Amino acid sequence: MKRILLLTLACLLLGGCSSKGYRQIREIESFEIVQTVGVDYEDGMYTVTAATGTGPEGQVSVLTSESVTLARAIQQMQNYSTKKYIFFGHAANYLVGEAAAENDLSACLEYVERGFNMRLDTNIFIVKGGKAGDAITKASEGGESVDDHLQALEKDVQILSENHIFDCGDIAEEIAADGGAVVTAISLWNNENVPVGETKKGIQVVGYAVIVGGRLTGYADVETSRGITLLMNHFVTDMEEIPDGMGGYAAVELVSGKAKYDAEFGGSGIEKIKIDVKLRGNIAEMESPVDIYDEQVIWELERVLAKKELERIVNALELSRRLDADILELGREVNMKHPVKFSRAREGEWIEQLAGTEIEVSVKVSVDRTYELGISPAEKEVRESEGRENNVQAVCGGGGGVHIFADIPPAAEKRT
Amino acid sequence: MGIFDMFRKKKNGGAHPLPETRFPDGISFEYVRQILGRSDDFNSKLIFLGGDERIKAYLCYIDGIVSGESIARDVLRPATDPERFRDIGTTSEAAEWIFHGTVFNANVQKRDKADELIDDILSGFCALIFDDLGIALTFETKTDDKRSVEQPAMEKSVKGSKDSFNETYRVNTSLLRRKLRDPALRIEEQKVGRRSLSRVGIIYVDGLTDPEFVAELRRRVENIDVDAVLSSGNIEEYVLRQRKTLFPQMIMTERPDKFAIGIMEGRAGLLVDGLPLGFLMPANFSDFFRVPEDNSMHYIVASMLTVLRYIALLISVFLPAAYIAVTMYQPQMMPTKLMLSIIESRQTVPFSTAAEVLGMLIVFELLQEAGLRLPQTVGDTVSIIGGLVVGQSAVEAKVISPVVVIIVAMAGITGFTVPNHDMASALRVCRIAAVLLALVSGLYGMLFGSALLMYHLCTLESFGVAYMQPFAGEGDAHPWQAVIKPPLKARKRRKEFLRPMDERNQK
Repeated sequence: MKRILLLTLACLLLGGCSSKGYRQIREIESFEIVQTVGVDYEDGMYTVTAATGTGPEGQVSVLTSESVTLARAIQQMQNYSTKKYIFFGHAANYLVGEAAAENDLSACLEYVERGFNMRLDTNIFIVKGGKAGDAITKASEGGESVDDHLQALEKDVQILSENHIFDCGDIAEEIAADGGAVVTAISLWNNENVPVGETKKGIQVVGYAVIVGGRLTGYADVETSRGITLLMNHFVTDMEEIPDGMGGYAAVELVSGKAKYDAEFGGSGIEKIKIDVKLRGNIAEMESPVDIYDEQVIWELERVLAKKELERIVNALELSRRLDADILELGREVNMKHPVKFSRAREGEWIEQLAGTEIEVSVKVSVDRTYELGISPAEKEVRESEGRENNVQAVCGGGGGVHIFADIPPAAEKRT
Repeated sequence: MGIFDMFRKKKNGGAHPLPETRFPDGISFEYVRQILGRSDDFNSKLIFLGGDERIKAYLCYIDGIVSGESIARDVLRPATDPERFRDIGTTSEAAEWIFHGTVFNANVQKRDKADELIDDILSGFCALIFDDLGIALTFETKTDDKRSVEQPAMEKSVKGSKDSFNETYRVNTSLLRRKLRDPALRIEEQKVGRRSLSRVGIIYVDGLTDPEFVAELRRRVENIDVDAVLSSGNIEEYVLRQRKTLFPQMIMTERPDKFAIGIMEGRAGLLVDGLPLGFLMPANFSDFFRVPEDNSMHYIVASMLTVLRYIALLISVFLPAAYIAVTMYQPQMMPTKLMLSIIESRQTVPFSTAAEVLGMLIVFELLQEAGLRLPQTVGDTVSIIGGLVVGQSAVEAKVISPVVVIIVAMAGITGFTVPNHDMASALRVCRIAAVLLALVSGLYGMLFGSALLMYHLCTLESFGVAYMQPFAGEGDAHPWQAVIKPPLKARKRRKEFLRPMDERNQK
């Protein structure tokens, strides 16, 4: 018993928790919980804007502080607040203004990485063409917090797989690996669903902000962003409208999408990266007089869809090539597939190697259910065994441009 | 002298003040009257056997513990019937005839030592003392005034048998015999307690129970040298070596079916006269999370309930401590929405989180203690008043936050799911200790406390068997065996760590 008591005392007293630590204990009700943090940079000064969630009486507190470093600005904010302790441990969103991101995004992430105040799993956004402080302040007008907007947005972007919201940890890791990353870009928009005479700002996703060398270098539009999302295996669902050529449309709900990576290695290293993308979907609506029982119609739908997805993917690859950065994490994917070969082949800068590597993309779309009679499983099997699949291909040549490797064959030709 | 030594040094050594043989003289009526005659419930009567004045004997008994009707019918009437003693001329012959059946009684003992005679008289026998011979014959004429076999009060049965042990030792052995008609079932009796002379039965199955368990138990029972065995604590404290632990190391049960299951698993048992409980040993941690109903249920349901009991154990011990640690030291760990609702609920509460939780835990323990020993109707009232005043009213008055009420109630309720009362009591102490550690140093303290608890549990043994079997310790037994109950057909072998002589329990 004596030994146990001594051990207990030793562990409690020598555990590294000093009396200073105990003094910092605060009762939970004295916390003001910050849910969104914004960072802007101007003339060598960082401006931190912090917003709480919507309080019980519909109020949102927005606080601002300015200093040369983020850490100091945040501490100042905590220091000057007399009523409550400003608590950053539950910040769910980290908004970085365009100027701050252009200056150095990795510097903005430095505070999150090193400090214990904010979590690494805080979602990160870049405010396209504006300041984070403005976005927070304007979106918080009218009793709604910016956090409400961003939370809704996080789920909404998955519906059409337009985007994937990354957290600070992911981005910091990617920047540390090769300097390239994509971050969700947002901007303010005027919400028209408000009474006449009032203005209300909302937040919308406007694609990805592209980070190269830890700095913001450009943006990917929404269509290209879809390709990026698919290539990075963050596809959830999508709804595509396909014209039938007769004025009608078919809506196809894509329910799964997966990109698989492989590589061919030669004497000079990686010679070719193969990307095999497979999507599955079902017909959601048929606003067209075409005969849905005709397999040719379904096959044509699949072909058009595959072409559409291929274009998005090619755009994403082109953007990556253009910016000379591995924003799509192709290196990581190949490394995961062939870790030994990749580490041997990867001599020197990976980005330089990637620029000279041929990329072959293959997209296959399968419309499984028409919710009519559909194609019987037996017929499906026959089709697959005969190789009658809608497999469209493209190759990004080593020279930098995109070359169509095999033109998309007409449906009838393919079927024969 | 250290603070720990000051208790140790004062431990009493030497022999018990009462001698082993209390009444060393030979048997005579006068001697018996000297010993017992000062009590008003001692009755004696001179009788002439077969109506012959030459053949005298003294009938002695203690009123209240014998049946007057049985004495009159089974002893006095045949003993005074002249027809039965027609050819008998001496006291010696008469005693011999009575012993061999002239007086018909199922249990007749011949005593020539005063100690044995007094013991019999005090155990509900009546005695015929033959002064001329210096012997006595004792007849079992116990009264039938005893508590009938009732339903278990503490260990409720849903699908199992509804009988329970009571205070009468022989009833308890009969209940066991009815469940286990195995001729190899052995009941070895010993007298324990110099004043209480309580019968203690060591129960085991010959050829199944490890003889080492039995020998060790026998030795430990023999070494119990106390005035009286009147509570279960007496037995537990003396039979077990390690009492510096809160955790029970013997299974105590009031259910004969659970006792019988334990005996059939290869454990040794103890039944004590006057206690409505059976003791089983060795016992380990996982045994206290099983109930006999597990065998009556589908194995998947039984396994799920066992898993739930372990989850309940964790919630019961660590939930209040985790609440304190997280809210005071590591608020980052909480989901944001939960934190916001806790903040909102605590806005008007005047106490600190720690005071709130500790206060509520103490109130909960007090309510439990208050309701435990009261008559059921009063107990229910206490529960209702306690629930309303402490729960609803305190929350409405904003004296405590609803979250703390939920936390403490959850810890309390999950504590009740532990089937064993002793284990549940130990966990109550652990819960408060965990709260204090969390209060001092947050999650670090809580984890340190749980490591200390694990260390303590792993050092315990019950009759040479590791307490944490099968989670830790020797043998091939896998931890899942303590949690997941396989179908009966798959349980062909008894638990290895109980070292049964007969390993298989079915074809």
